[in-house]
Amino acid sequence: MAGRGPIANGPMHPRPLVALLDGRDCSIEMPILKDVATVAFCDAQSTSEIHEKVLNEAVGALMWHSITLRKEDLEKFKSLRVIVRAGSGYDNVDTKSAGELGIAVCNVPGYGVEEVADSALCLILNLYRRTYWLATMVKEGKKVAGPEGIREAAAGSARIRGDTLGIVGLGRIGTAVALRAKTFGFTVIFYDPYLHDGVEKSLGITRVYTLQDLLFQSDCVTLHCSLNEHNHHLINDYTIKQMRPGAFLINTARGGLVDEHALASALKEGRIRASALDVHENEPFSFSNSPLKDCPNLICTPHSAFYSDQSVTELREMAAGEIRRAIVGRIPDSLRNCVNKDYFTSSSTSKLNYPEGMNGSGSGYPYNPLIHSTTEPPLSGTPHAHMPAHSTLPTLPTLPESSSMINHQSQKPDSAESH
Amino acid sequence: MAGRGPIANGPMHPRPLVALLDGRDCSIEMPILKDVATVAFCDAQSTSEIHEKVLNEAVGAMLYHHITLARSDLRKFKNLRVVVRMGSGCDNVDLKAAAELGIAVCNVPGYGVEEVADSALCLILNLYRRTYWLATMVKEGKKVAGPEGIREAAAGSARIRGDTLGIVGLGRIGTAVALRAKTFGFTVIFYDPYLHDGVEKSLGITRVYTLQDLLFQSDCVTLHCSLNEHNHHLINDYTIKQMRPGAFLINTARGGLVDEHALASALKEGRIRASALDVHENEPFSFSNSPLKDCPNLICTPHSAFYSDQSVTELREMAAGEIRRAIVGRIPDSLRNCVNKDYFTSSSTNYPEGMNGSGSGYPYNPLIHSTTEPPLSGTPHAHMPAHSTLPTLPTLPESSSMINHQSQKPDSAESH
Repeated sequence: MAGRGPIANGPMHPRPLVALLDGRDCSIEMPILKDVATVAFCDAQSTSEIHEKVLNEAVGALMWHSITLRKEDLEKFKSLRVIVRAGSGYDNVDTKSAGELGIAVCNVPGYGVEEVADSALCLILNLYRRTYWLATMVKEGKKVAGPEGIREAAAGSARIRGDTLGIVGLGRIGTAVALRAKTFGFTVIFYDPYLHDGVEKSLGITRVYTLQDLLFQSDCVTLHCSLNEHNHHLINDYTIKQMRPGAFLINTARGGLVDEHALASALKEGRIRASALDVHENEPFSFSNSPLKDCPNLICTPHSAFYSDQSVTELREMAAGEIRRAIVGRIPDSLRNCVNKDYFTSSSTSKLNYPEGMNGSGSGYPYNPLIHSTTEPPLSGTPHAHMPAHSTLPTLPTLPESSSMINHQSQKPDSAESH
Repeated sequence: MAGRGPIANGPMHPRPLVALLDGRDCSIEMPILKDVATVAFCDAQSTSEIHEKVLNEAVGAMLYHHITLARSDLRKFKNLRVVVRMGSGCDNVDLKAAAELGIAVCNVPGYGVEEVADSALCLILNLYRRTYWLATMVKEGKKVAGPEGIREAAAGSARIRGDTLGIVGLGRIGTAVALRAKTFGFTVIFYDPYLHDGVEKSLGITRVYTLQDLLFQSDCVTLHCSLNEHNHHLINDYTIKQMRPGAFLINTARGGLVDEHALASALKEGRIRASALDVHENEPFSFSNSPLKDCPNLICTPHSAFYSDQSVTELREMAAGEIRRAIVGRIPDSLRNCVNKDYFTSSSTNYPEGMNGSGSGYPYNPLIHSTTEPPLSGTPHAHMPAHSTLPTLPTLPESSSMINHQSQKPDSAESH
């Protein structure tokens, strides 16, 4: 399994392998990583599509949201030490199992906050102003004539001022949505069981303390919480009945928060007047394969709310930077956004017979990379177990050419990580 | 022609006829007007479709934006005294000609301000986030998979923070748009030659003093000015070249502000990256009959930005209220939103100035207009013969008997 010391790095060792699991393009990551790692891409949608050499040798993995890593997927990797999710949600990785296997999982929070908030507002406005459906009518050639024609075409289009917007989860994105919504005249309320008291005073909005209260009071509900083991199908038949008849529902967070069968019934019966979803239980989303097929008053976008050229560039740079910190520093101490630190228990290190406190470090990471000199010979059967795993890499078809790295006499510490 | 005194009203006179020109439904207007007027609807798209009896007898007219009243149209009406535009723009009525003919034109400003502002923001966001096109892709069954799939599908989708939104015309709607846009992180600038100094300080935005400056500095241009004789085709080949390459253009104001041929070229060549229009040069709009046919990156809605059930109800109640004020009060003094007062010259009235002490040429105080004063033909009471007993028109709702009503009580205060 993966060793516990810092990732082998430096002139005596071949560069560690970092693999982009579910994508093809590494052009932004490459300049940040190429001097400390070999970067490969897998373009896989499941671990069964990943080349065996990557499974054996990858030390770092970069992933989006198109692939899932459950315990059995993680167990396939023999050398994996760090996974960086290029995004903020990490519900597609079993972080607990990863921690037990000694794999740090990191995310990139705080990128694309305004892109998602702007997209969420766009979806809310499309439901209130019926813009999407009106524009579609015009594109299809329908002539809308006279005041009665407009009234018929725009039926269902509602005034915003005075309506209540209920935000579930007041994180970075929820906050950005709240501030935008206020200027449109929404009365803004939120439910977030994890926040300390007083946040509502900072923003001038109202807090409620149960989901039920939020659903009762809201004309429009928008989800901005992450998906975890407690909130799968947060919106289901039962909770939909707690919503106001004819309310709107928006979801730009995670598909798993909404039971699509329940939503489909509610839309068809008009209990929910209209809904807009950027995320779905199964992605990539297609209407034909979904319980939402044939629902009226439904707008679906393809998990694109976060996207802008700038946000994606920043995201990828930040993700690559975190991988770099993992390679040149310590895991998990050098990581900025490790989400499963709590699962790195001593039991996960004792599997590898590491005595706690070796070299005075209680974390079980005894090697300070600065004293890891080239004169220390690898010993098999000792905690240097990762050494054999990093033998000379055979050339993989997808690997970019790596320059010669043996016979490099001087060891200089790697330069400060890019941010 | 139309007479100059107050509209004949009261127990001795048949109720004056008020006609809704370009619609069918009078259900909201009726309760407000039925005790002072007979209300009819024409559902016409031009004056040639209007029944001759209405042309002869209507004293008040209400219209949306689906019919135009040029000078020649106004002259067809023999008794028209007041026209109420059910909306804020009056560009479809010749205000000057109306005044010369003694017809007051009123609008209803200030309704639906937030509806239009919200719709404009929705269109702006649809251009920046590509939501409309992404949702359309999904509806058409296209599968968007993986980061590269999203990048391809969402190409062109841009970050808002740091971009400059240029507002042309900072009226009620422009102001509402400015305040919303600020929270999205836009740098907001505006051009409005009619506003006094200092407005920008009230709102914390930036003012520029020429259209050219606005076009040079804006990543996204949104029009919120009314259409008048000076700004037809404000956006044309020449001014489009002053815009930033790849800018966005939104128009929820009036179709006549934009030269659609010029816009079509700019969209096809990518000089304008995307555009969204709620109003068009010819309405009702259809792509197939328009220079905008086959343009990429274009979203069009059918002049619906103002619409919500609440805004339309308020609009119609306000319009009916203005008509009521015209009937029971004085024209133009009792009117709240008369837009062509300036054109009412003494030459248009044939009224000796100062008669009864009123310099406005309206000598009759309706309160002293008693039933004992007989109509005299050939005098300024010319409107009297016109208000003879109305024959029943097929489109008129049944009117209750109005003769033999002995007591005259002043009409109750107008509804607002």
